[in-house]
Amino acid sequence: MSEIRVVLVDNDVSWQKNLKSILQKVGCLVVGEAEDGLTAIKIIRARQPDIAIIEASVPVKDGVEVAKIINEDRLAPVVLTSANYRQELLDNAINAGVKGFLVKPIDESSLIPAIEIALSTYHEMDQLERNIKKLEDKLESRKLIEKAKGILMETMGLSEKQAFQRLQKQSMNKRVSMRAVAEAIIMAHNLQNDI
Amino acid sequence: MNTFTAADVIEKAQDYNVKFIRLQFTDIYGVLKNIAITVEELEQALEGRIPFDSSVIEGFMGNKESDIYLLPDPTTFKIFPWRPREGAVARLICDVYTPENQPFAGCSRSLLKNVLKEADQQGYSLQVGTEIEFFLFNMNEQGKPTTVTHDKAGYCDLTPVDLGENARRDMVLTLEEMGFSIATSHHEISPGQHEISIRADNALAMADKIATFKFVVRTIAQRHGLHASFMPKPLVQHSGSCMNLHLSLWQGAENAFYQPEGNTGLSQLAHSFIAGILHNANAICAITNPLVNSYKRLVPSDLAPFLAAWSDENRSTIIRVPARNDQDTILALRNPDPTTNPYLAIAVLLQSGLDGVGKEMTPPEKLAENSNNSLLGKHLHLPSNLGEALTALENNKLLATMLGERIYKTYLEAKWREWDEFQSEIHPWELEKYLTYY
Repeated sequence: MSEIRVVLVDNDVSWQKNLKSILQKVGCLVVGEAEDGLTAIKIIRARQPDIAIIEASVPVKDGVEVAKIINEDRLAPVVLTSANYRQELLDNAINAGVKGFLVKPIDESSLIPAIEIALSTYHEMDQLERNIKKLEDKLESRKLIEKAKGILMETMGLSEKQAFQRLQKQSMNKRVSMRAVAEAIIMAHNLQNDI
Repeated sequence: MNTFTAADVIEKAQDYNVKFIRLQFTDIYGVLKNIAITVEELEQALEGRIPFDSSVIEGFMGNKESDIYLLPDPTTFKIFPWRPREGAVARLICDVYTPENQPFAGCSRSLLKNVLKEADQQGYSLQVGTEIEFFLFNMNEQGKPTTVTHDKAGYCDLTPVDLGENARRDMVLTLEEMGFSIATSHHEISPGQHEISIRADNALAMADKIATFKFVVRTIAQRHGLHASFMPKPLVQHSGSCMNLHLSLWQGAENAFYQPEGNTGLSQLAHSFIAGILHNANAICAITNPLVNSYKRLVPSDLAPFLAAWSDENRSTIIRVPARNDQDTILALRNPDPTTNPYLAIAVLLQSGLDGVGKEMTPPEKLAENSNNSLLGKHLHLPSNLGEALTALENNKLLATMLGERIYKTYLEAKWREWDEFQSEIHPWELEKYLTYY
């Protein structure tokens, strides 16, 4: 593996050491370590690792809670570790958006694939999300432009094509997006109707 | 964009896969409250048919409770940016109504709307900008907030001294996603203290924004493993946190505070407005500085506003007129702190100012930059504690009428109780000071 930057969170110091040596052996760089959930959040935010490996039962804020925040804010993929496997814990982990779950004891042969798969799933998800965001924006713009077009057609007696051209021209002249022009038209229209 | 109707809200909620909606409102004392409903109940909620109990607004259970209804304002619909897309959470800010479909007398948002409407009838509209300060504190092993500040940085310091920069940036980005226009943000004078300033907006929108601001900042801080506190004066040796309000009054498209002729750049109306606020300053404090702790921030010192006076440069006065002689002319109110109820605070300031305008009051001379503040009469000092401020409010007919019997009485009753409770406590300072000597 090429240099993957890892934050390790575990209150069991000997385990942490153990994991760290495995990671270092395969060329990962441990950029931060924490023994409780609060410190974990701070360190992950500050160091921006490629991946975080978090023990579920760390004190102050438990691992699942930390994982949830890390995932919601898209800081890094999280692999959760635990000494005892329970269905409830797994369910919570899935809800929190955890990308891997390892039951201790953990050896090299289970750790490395888990990290690799978590990283690739995370990147795939990241790409998809970006695309969705782009499409959502487009859709929203289209809706607003349609609405503005409708207003122009109604109030100025323009054809659909003329209304669209009017918007386009305004957008070019003012050097703002068509969406911004559409928003301004809708706002002005609503204002007029309020009075 | 404020072009939302109820139908838009329902459509947007569907588009963004919203599962829960929080109906938010502010109680009399300025605390943001909410009840969560599922998206299935949204239509019913938008018609104002979700019943509730008035004790949530007035803060205590008594025999005065009545049924209330929450009527959401569709223009305030916002999806929380920090929740996952699948099953997103949104909020709506609500007015409180009676079963007879009238604004509830204990609803501070409705009260502000009324005051703004009256101003509108006189041809005025109010724009408000604000600068809000707060502390970021560390939490202890039990996850409880401490008074240990997150960093030791000072005014406008950068990383790595300013450890709060990441959290602050996240707050700003989140606020912007929620439609805020953020002017600046920086580290403040005290360690662990931060400031974010919000560009001016119409008065009601700004009150909504201030209520939302505190909630967002606290939430984001928590997600950074920190505790954000708006307590006015948490650390005895360091400056407290203010919430400066920048007021400008508009007549149509003209800033009514500005007047190109004359050497001050301030209109006669601005002078009267200032006079009105100064005239009622002590009573205003009971609203804008609502906690026992608020008055620890106003203790006379170099940077604290403690004089009911106005000035261009003197930092001890509650009103400052920053030097800019154009349509951007504002009055900066420096005494309010972030624990105030923003709806009531803006309402009492506007009402007092307009009263000054109506009566064509003249303000006292403005204070010079280097005037020796300690030589000025005690009569110019703001109330030195909550009790004095409450007494001033009790004797103020203008604000009593404006606040209406329900809010006025309930507020005074609760705040007197708070003050009496503080007074009857034996504080560590007293034991330290007196126990060995007497």
